[in-house]
Amino acid sequence: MEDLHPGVQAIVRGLLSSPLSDVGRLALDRLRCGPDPDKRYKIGDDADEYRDLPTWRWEPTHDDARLQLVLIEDVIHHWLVDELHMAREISQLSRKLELKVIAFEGQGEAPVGRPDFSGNLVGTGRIKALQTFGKAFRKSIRTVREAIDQGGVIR
Amino acid sequence: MSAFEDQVESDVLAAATKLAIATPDLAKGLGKSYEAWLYLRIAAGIDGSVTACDHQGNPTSILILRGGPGYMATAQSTKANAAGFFSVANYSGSLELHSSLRHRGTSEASHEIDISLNRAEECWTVRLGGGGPYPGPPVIGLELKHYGSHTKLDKNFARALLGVAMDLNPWFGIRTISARGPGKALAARTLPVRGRYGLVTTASLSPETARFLKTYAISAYPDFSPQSRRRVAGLIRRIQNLIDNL
Repeated sequence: MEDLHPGVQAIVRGLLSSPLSDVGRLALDRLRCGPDPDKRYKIGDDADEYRDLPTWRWEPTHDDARLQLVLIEDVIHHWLVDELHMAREISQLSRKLELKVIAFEGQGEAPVGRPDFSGNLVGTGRIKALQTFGKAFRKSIRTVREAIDQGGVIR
Repeated sequence: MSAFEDQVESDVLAAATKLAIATPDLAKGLGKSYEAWLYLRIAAGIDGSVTACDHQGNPTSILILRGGPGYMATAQSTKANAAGFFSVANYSGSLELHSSLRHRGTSEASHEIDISLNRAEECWTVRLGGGGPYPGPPVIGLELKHYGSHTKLDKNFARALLGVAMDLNPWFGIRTISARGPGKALAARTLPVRGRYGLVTTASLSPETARFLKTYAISAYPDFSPQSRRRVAGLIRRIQNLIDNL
């Protein structure tokens, strides 16, 4: 992580320390691989086993700050597109299957009264929340990119 | 850390936290919506009468999914949000489509299958017997892996799935048993297939993983996302064929 550009580190740290830490790991994983997805399989004779060893070291493929930004922007963009696509399709499927609520066990559990399913998979706010996050994330990427361009935060 | 980096970090943290509040399933880990999407896609795509049910088997418009590996709830449970299922009735008989249900293996260990189509009769035996894991293999079991599309799944995932298939049915992978006497065949018996499996993933598979799965007749569905409409339609067709030939 220390090998990354400080602005990129800040973005990844923000994700990792949030409840969406898995999204942060997705970004980190993308940075580890670099643009060559086969790289991890070329490390040793049986590298796919090597990958699971606890001694697996952080080795970013690219030390160029702009490329690091492109990589995390790319992976989060694809994740968001997938989530948005699924949210829309789940919404359509729920109508076909005559479902008003699709929730996970434990979600909306209330000690008394009716359970609150507002965050369920067909909740109206889901698509908007994903879009809002997308905008905020892109804004942070833009801020870091501008700082790099202006020579403000260069490693 | 500079004030600039501090600001960037807290902006990203705030945006992600806001999203997690609006979509609590995303905070449970990646892949929950992927599982839910495919579960619904299969339910909506197969022929016959498909009805969403609560854990007691009553038709419902509020479908509860398992948030993680779980057992079948007892039919007597009055818990408001125990996981439900889809009841599937067609001329092949009654089946149930479940998400993240645990299955009991020969070793008595339980194994979660992300999406499983099971025999309704067995499900009801468990449900009326106080709940628990489904005994043995599913009719169809799908293991789902939602990763970035740049990821290649290594063979550990295939090994794990084969291990589950073997524990749920130790005859898995053996198609025919034959007996030979001196100089001639005495008998041969083809074993019925109990449990079909598939690995469905947004990632790609390493060639070794693909070969491993093929060897054991485990279907592979790499690069499988809601956008890959042809692949999705292909999986639904395959499930339909298996149901029709039960």
